Amino acid sequence: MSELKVSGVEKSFGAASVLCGLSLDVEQGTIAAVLGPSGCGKTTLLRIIAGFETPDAGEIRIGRRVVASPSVHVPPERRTIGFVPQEGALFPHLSVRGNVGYGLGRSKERAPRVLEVLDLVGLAHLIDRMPHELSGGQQQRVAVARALAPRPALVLLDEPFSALDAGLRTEVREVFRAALRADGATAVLVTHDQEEALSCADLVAVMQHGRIVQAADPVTVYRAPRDLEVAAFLGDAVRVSATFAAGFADTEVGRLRLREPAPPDGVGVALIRPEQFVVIDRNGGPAPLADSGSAVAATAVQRSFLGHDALLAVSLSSGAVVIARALDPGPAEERPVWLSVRGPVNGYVTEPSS
Amino acid sequence: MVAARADPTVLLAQVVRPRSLMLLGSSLGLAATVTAISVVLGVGAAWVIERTALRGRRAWGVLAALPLAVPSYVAAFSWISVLPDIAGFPGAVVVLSLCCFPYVYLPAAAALRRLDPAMEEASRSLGVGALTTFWRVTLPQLRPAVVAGALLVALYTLSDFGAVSILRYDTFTRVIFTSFNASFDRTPAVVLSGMLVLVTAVIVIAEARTRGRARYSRVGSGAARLMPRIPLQRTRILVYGGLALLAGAALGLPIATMGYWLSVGRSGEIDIPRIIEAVGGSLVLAGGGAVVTMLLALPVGLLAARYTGRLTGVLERATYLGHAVPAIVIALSLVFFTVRYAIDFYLSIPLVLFAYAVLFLPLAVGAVRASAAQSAPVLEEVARSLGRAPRQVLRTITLPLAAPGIAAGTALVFLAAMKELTATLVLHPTGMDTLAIRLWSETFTRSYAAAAPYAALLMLVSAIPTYLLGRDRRRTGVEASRAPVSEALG
Repeated sequence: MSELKVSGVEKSFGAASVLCGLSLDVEQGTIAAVLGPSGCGKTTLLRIIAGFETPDAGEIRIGRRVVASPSVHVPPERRTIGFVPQEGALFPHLSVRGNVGYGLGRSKERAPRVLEVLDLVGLAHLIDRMPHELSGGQQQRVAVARALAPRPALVLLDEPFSALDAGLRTEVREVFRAALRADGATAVLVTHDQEEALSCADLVAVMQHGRIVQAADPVTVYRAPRDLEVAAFLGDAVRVSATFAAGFADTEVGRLRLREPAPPDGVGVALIRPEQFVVIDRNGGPAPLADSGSAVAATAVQRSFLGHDALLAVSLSSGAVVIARALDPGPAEERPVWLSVRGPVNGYVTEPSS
Repeated sequence: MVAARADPTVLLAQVVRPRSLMLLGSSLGLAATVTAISVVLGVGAAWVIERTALRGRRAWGVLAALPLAVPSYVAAFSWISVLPDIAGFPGAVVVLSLCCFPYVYLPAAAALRRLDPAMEEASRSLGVGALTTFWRVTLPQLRPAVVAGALLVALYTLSDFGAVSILRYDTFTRVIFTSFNASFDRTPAVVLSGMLVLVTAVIVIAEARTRGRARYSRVGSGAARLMPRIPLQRTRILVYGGLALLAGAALGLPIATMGYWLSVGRSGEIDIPRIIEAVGGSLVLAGGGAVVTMLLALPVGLLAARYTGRLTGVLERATYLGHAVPAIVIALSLVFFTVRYAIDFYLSIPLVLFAYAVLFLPLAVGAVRASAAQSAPVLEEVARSLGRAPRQVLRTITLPLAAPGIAAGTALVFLAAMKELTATLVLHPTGMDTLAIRLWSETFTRSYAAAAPYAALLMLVSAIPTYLLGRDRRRTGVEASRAPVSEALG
């Protein structure tokens, strides 16, 4: 059953409408990421779930209990939630032990539970440190442990890794994921970083214009975005005009197989991820066979080398330029290539044929 | 109150009397001169101490803050006992400037420490020279701190009573006091008080206007780097000499004078039981005043830090009235009020404590508000999410985090009450002595040797908290705990 059920929540600040009938279900034991651009209202959503703000309309349930509705407002301290704010926000006057134990009261279980959750985040050895003696990543891990300690029904995280530098971010994210799993916690994480959402969540809910426009597992959301806007937000996307017929898209990069379920026949846009392109030097050789349609002749015009791979700007015969991701960067100067597409692509019909 | 009962034509005649206008001129002239000199001394000292490769920076920092521990009437006593000819305008300017420049120094130094070097570097990288950068980038950043400090200096000078009366320079306060003491007709005292309040109100409003709308903070996250210090070369002698002269005039002279008078005055002029009695009186009044003031300030400060509504704004600004209204005016209105409506409280300890609370509430509220603002609201939200009710959050998070600021605020009020002369003089219970009152009456009769022990004790008592406030605590990593203090001072 769903641990968190948000139904039709609305919220506006003055004239600005932030949430417009937002709904979201999160199953018990899953990690959900609410992904949206900066300023889309995802932090407001989190604060409403936590009880720091009240919704103008709609209902929120945690477990079986209604915690917010037009007639109900359960204060934050009685919602059995854990909250991890952006910068961790450890209590500066309490040690790591004091911080993690803060939500546990004076029960007998306190000391072992503090150790247990600190173990989950791998910081049991720092139990007597003060917050200012910890690095940023360690502070964030303590903040997660502190939120988990009272075994909340729901852990809420507000861009918890954005303040960390890139190397640390991956590490802390992994620790956090493992800790939540080990504790069987249900979590909602809000972020504007698609990589973060895709890599650590079981459910990615894409938020746009004050509502959730698509919620599914990360692979589905990335591979089969509901529309072009979602597609563009989840990663680099190349759009080419296409004519759809019988499960194929005819485009200037060839005849491409459409992902099931294929859109109805008509005219529209095919969406190709840059890593779906295969770029091979032409050097007068024959066109290679691609798994959908044949390769087209094109010219690689520009290269930006990223280390693990490279992005190539490839100019088509029409003069249009597409971006392809290539493992082998090849030479920087302009050169003739074969361009083909691997795997099925997504089609979005703009004008159905009658 | 009293003014309303009098004949308007009599009042008007009083206001436009040449003597009143002359007083207006002399008071404003003194305030302007002292403020200008304090700004130059304060900003100069702050820049030299914070931004140049000075040796013994920390010690100089303490020395520059310590003059706050010298009550102006103690300084006046030492200057006039050494140089009797200094009485009048020159003496008042010298004494008040030396006592007041830390009010500018402390906030200016704090602002310089907080400045992000990236701003000056950006200016230099755009092809602007060091001196122009100071004028166009650094100084504007310091402006709010300096203006706030200058306001304190101006208000302090206008309301100072002890120094100007010892130095026999007629300003509003001195004439109000003498006319209140000397005659049964209270009208002149009331009219002059009204004029004085008007002048201070104009200055406070003018300061609020100059603040403007610019924001003075760093943009972006991350800790600011420390500023590189400018090496001293040929200017070294000038810098060290200037600082030494300043410290000598502001601290050395009073200490040396007191030492001198203590050594010559040994022959039976030092009255030990009387001194002990005065110490007791000071401790009772200042201690009681500090506690009462802080209890009143806590709710206002916490409210102001958390809820920025119109009501809390009005409430907070109302407490600042005490800062702008000179002590002599507050004391006189309390006299009139108790005589007419609450004669039981006339010249009683509770009345003195109440006067202290009115006078020093801004110090305490500022300290509480700044330290409560230190604990970010997000900490309280996290505490709520961990299952604690608002009252528990106040007890376990907000108050512990604000505790150093509250303690510093209490110490500050204690210090200020200890030094307070005017209201204490007017309101103290008959027969009760404090250090300040004894010092004032001994100096008044020019028995400098008898006054010296009181002066020495007063400075000693005030020096302890001032030393703690001025100490550079950056290395302990609790820079934050300084903020309430400089906030309270500035």
